[in-house]
Amino acid sequence: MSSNIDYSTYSLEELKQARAAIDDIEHPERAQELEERIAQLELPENSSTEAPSTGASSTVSTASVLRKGKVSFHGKASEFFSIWIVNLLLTIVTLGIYSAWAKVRTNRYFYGNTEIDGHRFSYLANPLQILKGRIIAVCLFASYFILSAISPIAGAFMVLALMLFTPFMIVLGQRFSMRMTGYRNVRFKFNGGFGDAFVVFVVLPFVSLFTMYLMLPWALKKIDEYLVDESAFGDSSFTTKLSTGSYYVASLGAVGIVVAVFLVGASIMGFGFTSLIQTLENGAPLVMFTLFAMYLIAYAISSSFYTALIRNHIYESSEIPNVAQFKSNVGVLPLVWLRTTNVIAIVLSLGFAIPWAKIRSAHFFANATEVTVLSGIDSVTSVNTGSVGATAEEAATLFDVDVALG
Amino acid sequence: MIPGQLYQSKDSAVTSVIANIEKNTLIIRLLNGDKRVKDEQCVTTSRLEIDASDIADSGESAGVGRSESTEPLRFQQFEVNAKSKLGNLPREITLPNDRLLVCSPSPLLDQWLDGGAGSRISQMETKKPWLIASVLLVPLLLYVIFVQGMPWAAVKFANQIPYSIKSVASQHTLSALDYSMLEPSTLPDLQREQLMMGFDTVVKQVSGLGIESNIRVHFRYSDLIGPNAFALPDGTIVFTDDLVTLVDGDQALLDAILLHEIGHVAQNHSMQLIAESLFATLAISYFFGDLSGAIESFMGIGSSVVQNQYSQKHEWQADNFAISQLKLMQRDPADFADVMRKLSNDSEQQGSENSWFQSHPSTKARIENAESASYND
Repeated sequence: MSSNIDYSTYSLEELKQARAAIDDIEHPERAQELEERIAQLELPENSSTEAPSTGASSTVSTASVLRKGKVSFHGKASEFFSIWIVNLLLTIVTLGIYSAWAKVRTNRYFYGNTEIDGHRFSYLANPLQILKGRIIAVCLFASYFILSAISPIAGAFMVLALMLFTPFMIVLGQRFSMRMTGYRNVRFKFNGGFGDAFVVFVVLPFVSLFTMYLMLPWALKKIDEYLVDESAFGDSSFTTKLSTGSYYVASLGAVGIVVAVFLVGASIMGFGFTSLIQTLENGAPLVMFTLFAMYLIAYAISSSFYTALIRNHIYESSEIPNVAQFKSNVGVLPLVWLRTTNVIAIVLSLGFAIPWAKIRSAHFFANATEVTVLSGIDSVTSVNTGSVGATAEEAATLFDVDVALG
Repeated sequence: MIPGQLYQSKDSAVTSVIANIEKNTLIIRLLNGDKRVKDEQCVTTSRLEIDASDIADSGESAGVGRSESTEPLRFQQFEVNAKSKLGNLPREITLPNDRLLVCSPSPLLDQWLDGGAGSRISQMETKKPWLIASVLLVPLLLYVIFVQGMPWAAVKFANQIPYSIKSVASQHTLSALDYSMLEPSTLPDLQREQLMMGFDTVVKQVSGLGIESNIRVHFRYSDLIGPNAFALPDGTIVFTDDLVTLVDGDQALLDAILLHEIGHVAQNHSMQLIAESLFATLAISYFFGDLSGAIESFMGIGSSVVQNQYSQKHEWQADNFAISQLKLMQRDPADFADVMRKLSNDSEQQGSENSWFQSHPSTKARIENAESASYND
């Protein structure tokens, strides 16, 4: 037994456990090494922040850092291309029915190739659940579409009804997609209630209309706060402390970029608004094209600016106490580059570059994300294994709506 | 020997394992050669107790001692449940009692789980001929569906819609338009009556369609839409005052426009367009769904291009309806060309080149179409 165990990879918690377990008489040299390493680690650990133990559970008294690493994504464009094209073919041939199976395969591919701390995610939805949700969604959408096309008056009522209905759809969708995400054989969970959802998704944005949108960044913050705070990994909830200031910086910056792009665009082309109308009569297509291009540029830069800032801020300020901390460093310019080249590639390839673009984006975001795993990670308890709240869960599976969290 | 990880059902605990297939049985050995695993087990004995009781429950050899834990776990095919193979992903195998085994992909394991040939879908995804066929078939089928299938289904759909619905829809639309962008006509009563009488004769001559009695012509004044005319699905046709003024009240020219609008009504175009837009939106979102951000907005452009193509096609059909009716009435299709020319001279935007983004075909082409019909006489 020539065991030269490398204790350097061990965390403080693991070292202590190993020390307690080891036989002093049989392996004195190992016991000594362990003690030295514990002493070494304990020194900075104690002097630095002793992790404000927010309701530390009985099993884990201190949340020591186990490991820290980037999210790794293992997907390959060539491999996903063949999955995608077969999905597309079967979806077309079955007139859309296979799209439920296609969605499961696509999500399984992306979840299963995303790895944090040596473990991969899994997507657990059953295609039949999604098919059921899609059939209902198609019926609802078709009746809405036809009714509003046939009668503008009924359409206006439908829009109102849909607005009131949206929070419910979001909550049900969020519940579904969290429940269908697993990591280390523990499912995620969304605990958000309908009342809160109604406030953040309908009331606050509506009220912000009357403040000339000045309140909107704060309302956006409340939405993100709601979505993160109500999420949980097993029985461990996410907590977040978002700053309103960051949302104002991101929103004002995004608006500023749009204004700047149009000002620069107009001055480069060298005409004011009046001459623009005159040119409209002669070279209409050129002007239309330039305006369209300016719109695209403004959209690409300002949306990337907002996404990057807010994503970084959310990750920085959120954690699962005792289980994990997050960090995101998405750069604005790299994101602009990623999105622009993706769109160009997709247009030039007539859509065949879609799988490549999706894999590339997943790599990009994984690379920009860092997760610190804390010692509580090994003892997160699974919830909802049984049939608790069967009706709500059943209803949740009816709608398959995704809300992008950026 | 396949390295893997065994996840417990109750919490996030993990054990490194080595899996193997021996005599058609899945054998999972806990890695206790690794000191680290053993340390972990010493601390978390409670977890192993759960394990042992689980196994006793499922009626297996309850031989997993918690002191040594060398006894491997054994499973038959019917006891485990695996998701189909996908790319080069690790295989996820659900064991009894909701434990999860995740193993690196290996041909041995694949064969045990999927049988000799492997799952059919994963075969399609990996075999070259299938892939080449998919790459060729997808664009072809998309073309067939969008160009042939959807318009065909839209016609069938539109024909199912009863007149009562079309009538309600038209009334609602007209009152919404009256409220928002239309005002009562300012043309002299006499002029309107004369035009109406002229239109009546035209409508009577359009025979055999069964819609003649439904055609009702209205005049409206509008700042917003300028010289224009449009048809509602129940046969209501609206002319703007500006259009009448533009052609100096020339009955022959207005008749040509009327016939174009009757063409829309006769061929049920508004209902078809609703169906076509609906089908196109659904198809695009389900065929290319699950896209995000910039790509999705590109899909939005794609969907409006598709819809504009459909509505361009309807304009051509209505034009050709008007032209053939004019011929039947022994009148000159050049009337239609004349009125189009007047409209295009008036309009600021002459048919620009990017016709993909326009709901109406280029005016020049429409004039040429009507004129060539005229010369063919």
